[in-house]
Amino acid sequence: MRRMDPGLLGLLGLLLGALIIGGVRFGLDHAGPAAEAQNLAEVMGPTADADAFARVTGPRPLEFPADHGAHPDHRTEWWYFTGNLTAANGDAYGFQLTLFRSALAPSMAERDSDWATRQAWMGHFAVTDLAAGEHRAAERYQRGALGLAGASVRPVRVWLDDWTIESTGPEALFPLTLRAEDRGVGIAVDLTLTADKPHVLQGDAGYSRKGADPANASRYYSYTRLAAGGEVAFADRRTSVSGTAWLDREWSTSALDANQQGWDWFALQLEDGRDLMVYRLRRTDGGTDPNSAGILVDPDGGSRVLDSDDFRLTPQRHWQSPRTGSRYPVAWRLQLPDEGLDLQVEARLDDQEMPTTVRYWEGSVAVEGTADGVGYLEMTGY
Amino acid sequence: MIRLLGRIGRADLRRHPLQTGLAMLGVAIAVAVVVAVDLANHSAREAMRVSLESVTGRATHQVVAGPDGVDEALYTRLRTELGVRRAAPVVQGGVTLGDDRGRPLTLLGLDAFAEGPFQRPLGGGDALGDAFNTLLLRDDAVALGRGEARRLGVSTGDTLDLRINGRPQPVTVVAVVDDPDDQSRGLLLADIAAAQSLLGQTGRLDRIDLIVDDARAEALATQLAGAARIVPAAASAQSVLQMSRAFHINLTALSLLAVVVGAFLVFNTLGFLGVRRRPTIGILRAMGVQRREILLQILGDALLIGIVGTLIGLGLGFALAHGLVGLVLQTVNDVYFERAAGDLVLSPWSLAAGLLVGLVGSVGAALAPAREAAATPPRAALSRADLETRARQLARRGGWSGAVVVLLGGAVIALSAGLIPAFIGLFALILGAALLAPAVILAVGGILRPLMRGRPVGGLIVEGAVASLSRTGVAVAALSVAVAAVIGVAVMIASFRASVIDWLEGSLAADFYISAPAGLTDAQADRLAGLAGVDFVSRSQWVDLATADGPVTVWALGLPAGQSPAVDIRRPAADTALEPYANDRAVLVSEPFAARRGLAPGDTLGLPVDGRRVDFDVAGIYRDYASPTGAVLMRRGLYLELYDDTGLAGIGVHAGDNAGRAGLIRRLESALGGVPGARVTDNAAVFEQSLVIFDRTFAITEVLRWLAGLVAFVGVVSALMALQLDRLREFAVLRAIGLGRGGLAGLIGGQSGLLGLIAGLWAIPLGIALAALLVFVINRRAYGWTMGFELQAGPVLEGVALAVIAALLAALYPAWRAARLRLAEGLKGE
Repeated sequence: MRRMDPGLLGLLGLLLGALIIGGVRFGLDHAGPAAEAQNLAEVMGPTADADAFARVTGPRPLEFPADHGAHPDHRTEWWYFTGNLTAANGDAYGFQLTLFRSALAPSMAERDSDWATRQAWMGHFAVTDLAAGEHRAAERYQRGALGLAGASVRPVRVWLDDWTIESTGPEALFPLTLRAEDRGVGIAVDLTLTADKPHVLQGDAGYSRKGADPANASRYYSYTRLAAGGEVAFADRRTSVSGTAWLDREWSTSALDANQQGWDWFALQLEDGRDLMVYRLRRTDGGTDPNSAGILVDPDGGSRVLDSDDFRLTPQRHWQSPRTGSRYPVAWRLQLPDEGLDLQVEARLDDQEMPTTVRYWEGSVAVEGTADGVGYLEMTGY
Repeated sequence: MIRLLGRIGRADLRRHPLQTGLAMLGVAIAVAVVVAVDLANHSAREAMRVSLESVTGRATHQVVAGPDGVDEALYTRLRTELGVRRAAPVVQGGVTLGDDRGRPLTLLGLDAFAEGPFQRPLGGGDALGDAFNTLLLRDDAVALGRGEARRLGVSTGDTLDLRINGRPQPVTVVAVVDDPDDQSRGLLLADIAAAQSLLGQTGRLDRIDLIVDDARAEALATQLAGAARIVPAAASAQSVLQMSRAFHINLTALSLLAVVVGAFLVFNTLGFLGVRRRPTIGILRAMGVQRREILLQILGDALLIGIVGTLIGLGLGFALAHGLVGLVLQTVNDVYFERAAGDLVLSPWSLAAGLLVGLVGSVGAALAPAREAAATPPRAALSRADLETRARQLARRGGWSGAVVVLLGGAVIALSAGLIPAFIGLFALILGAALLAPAVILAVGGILRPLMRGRPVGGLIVEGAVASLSRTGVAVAALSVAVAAVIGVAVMIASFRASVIDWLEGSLAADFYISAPAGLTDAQADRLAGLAGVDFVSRSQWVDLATADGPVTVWALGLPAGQSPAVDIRRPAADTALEPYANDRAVLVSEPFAARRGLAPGDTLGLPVDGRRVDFDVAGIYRDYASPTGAVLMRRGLYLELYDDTGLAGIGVHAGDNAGRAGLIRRLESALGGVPGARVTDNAAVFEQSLVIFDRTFAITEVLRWLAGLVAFVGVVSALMALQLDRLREFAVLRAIGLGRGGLAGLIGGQSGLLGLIAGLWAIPLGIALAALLVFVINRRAYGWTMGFELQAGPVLEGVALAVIAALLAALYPAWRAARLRLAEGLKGE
């Protein structure tokens, strides 16, 4: 081959140079700083004015349907629905719809405007299309006034904009309908839920202690086995589905100690009819807080509370979020020696991180081992 | 056999690394231009969007109702039943400072939970920080922009004494928000609950802002019928920006142009494959190789070049767009552009267009010459003269078909009414003009030839340019389309800018504009008219009248005797229109209104008066870019006769010749003391700001000029180099018979410059036609507006200069090479 002409080389060199300069200057540093996200544990920690709010300090009997409604004098409260659904063709979906209420002040003077409120509401809604391997989520905020967001009883109705959870009858919570849609994100659920088991009280008759201070605690009860049927939409494709769901109801004023980092929360529904909830509170030093706890619910609804010695959780595999850089353990070994349970719990899709203001991982999991099943896993503070 | 032929082809490519490299480069540049123009357009669109938002907020529509405002329950209904997510309630009212001067301020009540998508300067929760809770929880908490806080002399924690509805009302400043452009001058922000309570307006909203598309807005209007109306947002304030939207469509036309230019470039650089191999093909054909096999060989090589070129081009285009946008950024140094340019992404469309031009274009470009080469009898294939003869025949035929295509394009435009036919016509015009380019060279050659008698070098220059059409025809076509794009865009922007200035001068005829949320009165107008330094005042009222054909906006304008409305009357002559307007029951209508209703001067327009329909003569049609739905301009005297409404929405203050502006604005503000929420707008500032925004928005089109220059350069350089390398032997002969090095370089430069000049000159009519089509046909069909046509010599001459300079630069290397030619080697041929 003849020697390359110097003029041509120069011309090519010039263009190559432009290419490299362009690339370096504009292409390579595209990864900008991620949006400022808050940590759930920071939000949930004790604050100076916590004493001015109502606090959960010990067991008290729950009254229904009143306690299905809001507890406006406690700082934080949530209605937390998760579930695993299957379409007729076998395609599997996971969903989460959570309405959070947060009181901005312990009290407020009487005011003229119907817009006036001290209650702020936040909604998180996510659907995972497991066949497509994609998780989509939406977040909303609203003021708890003027019928824009709120909770009422008889019938129980909890809503934020057009995301609604509504009982069919005046007294009982179930059956209830659960409806949410986000057109921009392209997800929707329209489900009817019925209770296969009665509610169970977490901790000491619903008093769930989370820290060394007895007032760092929440009121906590769950419906661990709900039958779900209806429709789910993902990427605006609507599908009829059925499956199981889970409801956690919890309210508190201060739930975490200062030295607690976050939690790993498991809600598992086993094929043998048992349901298992465990959560591990992680301390900032990496250890497990002794206030970690759980509950095992029998097929007939009888239950046994678990304390931190009754189970062992071992992370098996981690997944790092490309958006936030957080490393989440997405596969776990969960052992309950007394119950003869040795379970492998693994995310059905690694990327189920919530792209919300408060960032966390919440997603559908599969259970294998001495018992099979499905469930939901929530990991915060990573 | 095929494999052997493939090897021959590949060997041919390797033996001519310079030409192969140039061909790849040509394809790469073509693809790069297509991709880069699309990216640059994208960022221009983004910049426009961001500019729009920075002034008007992002609201597209507003829910409004009667004088009492909107029932707040409607907002809950929008959210919980109708599923409208991007909606924000607004309460606003006039207040004054509690001191003696009573400076007016506007109290703006917003809902921070709903503000997110609207991105108003004071609205978002982010800017408020810890004050968010305080604003939400207290009825007396307000936030201010930094500029206004300085003017009021308050900081966070201070108490501000206001008068609201005549009663003293202290409020606490809980946050001072950064507001670099002082956009929130005269504004106090409160939570909507506090604002309702402070203004005594519980249960009511002034309006609900929406971000929805037109279809959704229409559906909502039906659902809310009876309770409220839906109107397009803020047509009044900075309407020049609304007009900028028209530019979107013109940018789309530019992307189309880039594809055409790119395709020509590819044709230009790849046509050589068949041409150069003609001798080889002649031999192969003589040896009995089939036509099909030769065709496949050439197309295979073209595809190879196309693939390599496209890959390089995609990367190059991306870098080019970024680099050029970066260059523009440095000159305008603009924060809006930075945001817009930050997220340049390769859209599937531009990727597809790039691939199409690069791959399909390469094969397509090689196809015709390859077929021709494969089809020629072996003996003729060995002859060059035969090729140029055929090229000349082709040029003539191309010229005819070009003329036909231009005529067809013109017919499509003339006979159709829609936007898509207009685009098709535009495309046909460009294509036809490009096809005409070789014929233009021949024609210019024909004109110049007699002039060159007795001037051997001049003759050589002309003949050289004309005689090598097979090489230069497509290059000139590509160059003239590129330069035409530069000229067309420059003329269009100049026209656009001139129209904006005219219109702004008309609509901002007053020096100051006074408005107040609760409206103004004639008594206040009289007071202002009597101030020192005020020449006269104009009194405007705006009302929406419900008619069977939808709401009609009526602008009642009151002027003192001897003054005519400062509108640009298009039809009929201004005097003819103003005479009945001033004396009879006649109105003027704006262009978009006339277009929508199909009205012409002399027609009648029915408007409701007291429940009856009264006919008005349409005295004339005036130009207006402010409202897309249009307006009806009525003399206020007539309006007062017919309608029981003496209110004023605004007062325009015209300053006397010697009035100092600063002093006058102070006198106006103090004369308005005690009028809640009254604002004095300095129209000169609005004018300045509008033009700054306009120039900022269109600065990005500078990128297009750079791109066109690059196309011109690369297109000409590759064509010329291919040509000159072909003619080394001819040059050697010229040198051998006594032409000096300088003479040879001059010859090459002259030929190149002549081609550049022809392309540049041919681009002038094409560019002007392009601009005229965009201005007169496409804008009008898309928006119903007309614009003036501003033809200045500057941009046109710049375009021609660009073509000539690019061609001369392109000649540098071949000239240098030819000058260093060793005679013996050259004479031997390749």
